[in-house]
Amino acid sequence: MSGTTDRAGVVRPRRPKEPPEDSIPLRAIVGALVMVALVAVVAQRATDAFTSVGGLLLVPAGYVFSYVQRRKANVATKVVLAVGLLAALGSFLQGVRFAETVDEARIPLASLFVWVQVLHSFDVPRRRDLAFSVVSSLILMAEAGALSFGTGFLVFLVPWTALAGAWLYLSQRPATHEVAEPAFVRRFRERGGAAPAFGRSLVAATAATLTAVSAVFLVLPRLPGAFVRLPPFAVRNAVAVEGFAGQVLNPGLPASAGPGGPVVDFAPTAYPGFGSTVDLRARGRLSDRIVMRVRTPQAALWRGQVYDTFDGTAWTASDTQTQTIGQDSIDQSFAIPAPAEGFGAPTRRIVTTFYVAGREPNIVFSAFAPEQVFFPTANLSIDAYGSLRSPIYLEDGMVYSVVSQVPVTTPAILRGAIGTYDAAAVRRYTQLPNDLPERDVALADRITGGAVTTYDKVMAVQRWLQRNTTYNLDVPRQPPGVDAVDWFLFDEREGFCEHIASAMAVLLRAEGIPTRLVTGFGPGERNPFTGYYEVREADAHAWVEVLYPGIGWVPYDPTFGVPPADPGLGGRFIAPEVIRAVGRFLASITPEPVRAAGRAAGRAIATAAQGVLAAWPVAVAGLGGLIAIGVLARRRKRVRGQGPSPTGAAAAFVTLSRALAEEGRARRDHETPEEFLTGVRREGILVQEAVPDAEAVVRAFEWERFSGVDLPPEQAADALAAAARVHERLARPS
Amino acid sequence: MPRRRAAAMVVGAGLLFVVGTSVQAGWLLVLASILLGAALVGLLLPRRMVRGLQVERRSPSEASQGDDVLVEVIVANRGRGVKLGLEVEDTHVANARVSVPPLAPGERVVIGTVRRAARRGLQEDTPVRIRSAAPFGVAESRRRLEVPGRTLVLPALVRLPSTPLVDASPTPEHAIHSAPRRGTGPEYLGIREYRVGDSMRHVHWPSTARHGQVMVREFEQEHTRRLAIVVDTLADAGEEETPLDTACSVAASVAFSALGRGHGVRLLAAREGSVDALMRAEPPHLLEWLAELPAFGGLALAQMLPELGARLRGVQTVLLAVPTWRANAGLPDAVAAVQAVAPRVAAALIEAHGFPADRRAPVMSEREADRLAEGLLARGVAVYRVRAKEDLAACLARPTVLAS
Repeated sequence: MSGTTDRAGVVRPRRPKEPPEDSIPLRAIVGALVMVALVAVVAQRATDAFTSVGGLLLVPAGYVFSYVQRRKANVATKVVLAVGLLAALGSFLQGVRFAETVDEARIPLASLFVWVQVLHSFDVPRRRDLAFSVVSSLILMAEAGALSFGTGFLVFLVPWTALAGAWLYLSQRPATHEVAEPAFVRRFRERGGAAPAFGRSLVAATAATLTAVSAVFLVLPRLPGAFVRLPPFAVRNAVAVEGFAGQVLNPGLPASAGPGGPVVDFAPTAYPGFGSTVDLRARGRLSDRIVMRVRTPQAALWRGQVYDTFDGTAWTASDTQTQTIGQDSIDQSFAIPAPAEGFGAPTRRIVTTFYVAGREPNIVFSAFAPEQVFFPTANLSIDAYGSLRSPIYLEDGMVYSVVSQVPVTTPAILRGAIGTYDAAAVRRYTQLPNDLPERDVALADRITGGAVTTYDKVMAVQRWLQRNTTYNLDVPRQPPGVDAVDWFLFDEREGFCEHIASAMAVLLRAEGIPTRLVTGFGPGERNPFTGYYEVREADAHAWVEVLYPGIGWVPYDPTFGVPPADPGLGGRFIAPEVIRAVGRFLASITPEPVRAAGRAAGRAIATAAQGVLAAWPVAVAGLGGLIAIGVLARRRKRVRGQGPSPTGAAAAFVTLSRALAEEGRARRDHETPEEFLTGVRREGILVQEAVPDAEAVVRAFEWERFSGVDLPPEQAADALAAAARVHERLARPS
Repeated sequence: MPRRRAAAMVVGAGLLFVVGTSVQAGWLLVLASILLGAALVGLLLPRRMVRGLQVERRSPSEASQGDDVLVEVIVANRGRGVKLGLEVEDTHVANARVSVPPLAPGERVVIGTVRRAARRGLQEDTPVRIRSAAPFGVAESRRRLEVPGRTLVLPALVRLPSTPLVDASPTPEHAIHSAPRRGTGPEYLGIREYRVGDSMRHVHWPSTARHGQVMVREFEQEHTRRLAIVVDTLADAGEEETPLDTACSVAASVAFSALGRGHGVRLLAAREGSVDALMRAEPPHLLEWLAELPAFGGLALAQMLPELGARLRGVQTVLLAVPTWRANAGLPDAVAAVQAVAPRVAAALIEAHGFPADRRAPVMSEREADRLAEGLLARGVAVYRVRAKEDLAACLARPTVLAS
């Protein structure tokens, strides 16, 4: 006997080797799982062409080969596979030798995974090996998912999940060697068809799984990443900016755009605020084209340019000088100098990676304030306002990362910012048009009247704008020769972000608070699946920055608000965003009357909730009453379901059965009364002196049920009395 | 009860979460959610699979040890949902684990399994265990159902073509006792003259005519030779066929052989600390008595034999069916008490060390068994050595001879 001998000299048999897996459906499902994962990786362009084609052709062949050879030792195959594995490893090491970032190593790494899977597919004789294949396919899916930018990944994820569910089901069943082979199996149906029942169960199981997955997905926290030391940066197609000398060039705008030129309206794919001027006379709409996807631990405004001079119709920058920054030779990053106006508030460090999806101006967008930039060029330019420009355009496929120190300010910090401004800063950032109407200054005075600190004045202006102006992209162009902000504040009261932000800047400047206009992109919308913030052309945005003495510049967005610099615990979960997105979707497809009814119902519920909270004792009493009514109704239903109470000998037999059940011997379903009686006698549950009474009960019951003749009432009474005596005798301690 | 797969899925989800968080890849969190969600559902759904089931069993009322027995297990789905991944484990007669095909509501499946009745004894109302890990194999839910059913597994019966235990008359005493006596038995002895009181049915008319006086047939007195079989129930060990099972087989086989030859048979064994005896063993009752003979009777054979005096009265042969437990090492000394009342004593030594190993059992080694056999032979006891897996008839065909 083969085995191991223990210290006591007893031979313990070896654990038997797992036999080969013969199930073709199980193998087919695992093969399909691997193929789906492989296609997903190939679709992300994560492998080279040779690996892609080789994998797609060889994996199916490998699974067929494995099935055919499953009962053989396959020593030669194993040797070949081992050699192949070493070759794949060598190729991987060769590939990563010259990779400078983790991102550059992804193709060799993905290729290695694919080749491991290919080689493994030729040697999967047992169920355990198939399970390894499934784990391997999960790794490939994870890799594809990590590289996927959009919801298109669902095309692979849905079938992979369905196949994985099928594999889980098939593989949990015992293998043929684990169970006995039955001599026969016969099926009988008592009611209904099997197919609908199976369909219902499949739907219910799928619904339960989807619900559980969704619930987990919603409660899974989105924590800031902390383990990537070298963020990615790459360029696929570098297009140099001709004659670059630090200036911003917007390829979507006509060459005539600029100060003093004609009004340049919004082009669907070009925001006129990226350039040398922001003209408040410009109109139009931007497209919903995704311009970049941002991988970031938290939302922020992606700052592009700053303007400090307003002439009544347009904003320009008074200082166009730029400074060139060179790349650090060690970590290939650019160190960005801190803002000149200081940086007095606490900050939060965030690492943001921008995946550019369409041609954009040569602006390096970032969360304020950038500290370190990983960008695929040899140098960058920075202007006096801390805005970054690149010598190449942002192009589809470009990746760059920015480490930012986002100021985390609180009302207390900002209220405490008491001090004097630098005179030059005051001159530059409180500039107003010479012909600004007096009523604008008067309005600013009126809005900020009573506010003592800079912070309170800023908040008062922001609140006023939010309450008294309306966001509208379709406002008519203001008449020529009219101050755009004055016209917005006193005539139209409608406009878009440039108007609202300009109004805030003008009102604050009128109060002597240094303020400037900033253009860039809003945070975009977070894709709940990919985790990326998808920034569209239409997210191009304008907001203001306010200078606080000793603190520095603090952004304010009177149009949509600035995302919090410290999102807190609530911001770590995606559930609120998903619920909001679902709400928006429902609102978009629901007719207005229904929406109005919903709003009314919501208000009514809110009012009722407030009332309930105010009178909580009554609410608690009412809830208790409802529960009591429910319990009573349920009990009544149960009693009704039991049918009428038995009478005569049947009642006697029920009494006898209950008495014996209390003694631990309930009547089994299959037992006839006679068998029941014999059983309790044999088991010694029924004491000898109670046997005649029990027999009398059983005989009376049988007579009543089977004779076809009604039991005389006196005999029924005797049976009841006998049952009562048995009960009493059993209750008595023996 | 969670399986290893549950841990694997949770660990996998954790890894995906860590990597997904590190590289801020949302799809990895989706994959982690799928793993965790499936694990969660996989933990809860198996409970539903084993609810609403009704199980019955059909099995023969009697079987012999070693026989293949057809046992049917009937599983009915009385619940609302489809029951998937069910496995039934039934220990009735023998352990059998079978897969149940998916059961729709109201569906019933009859699964027939052939089981080898490895152990003798009464199998009554043995529970059935049902388990399911469906749909994902993440956790397993089990239920234990009491299922009525009764099968009595009788000891294995071996036909003994010839055995000295019941055939031979090896002692002079036996020859004396076996001399024919006149009586009323079925055997014809001769013709004699009529005496008052003789039955007219016995008149032999040809001889009466020949002798001229009434002659009657004379019959041999009916004389029953009696065999007592003492089964040692001190202990038992093992899971398949055990030494006590073999002792019962020996007892049953010898008893049947003796009954077939017109012998009377008594069975004796220790049960619950005292001696239990079946004084007039008849075939069906004999087998049931042996089938239900439990181990750990509370008396060692050495304690039991001196108490057997009255129960062995009129017995010519006493057979001791003795597994070689260490407690029986003193048997040669105790056997004298039996030899005092029975002319002939034999012992069937069931060599327990050859049965499947059980370290807890106090088994004699082969050498100790040899010494026991020699001790018994030295006291005039005929010894038959019964070894595991050997043909019982061959073992009982010839006694062991004392080595010179």
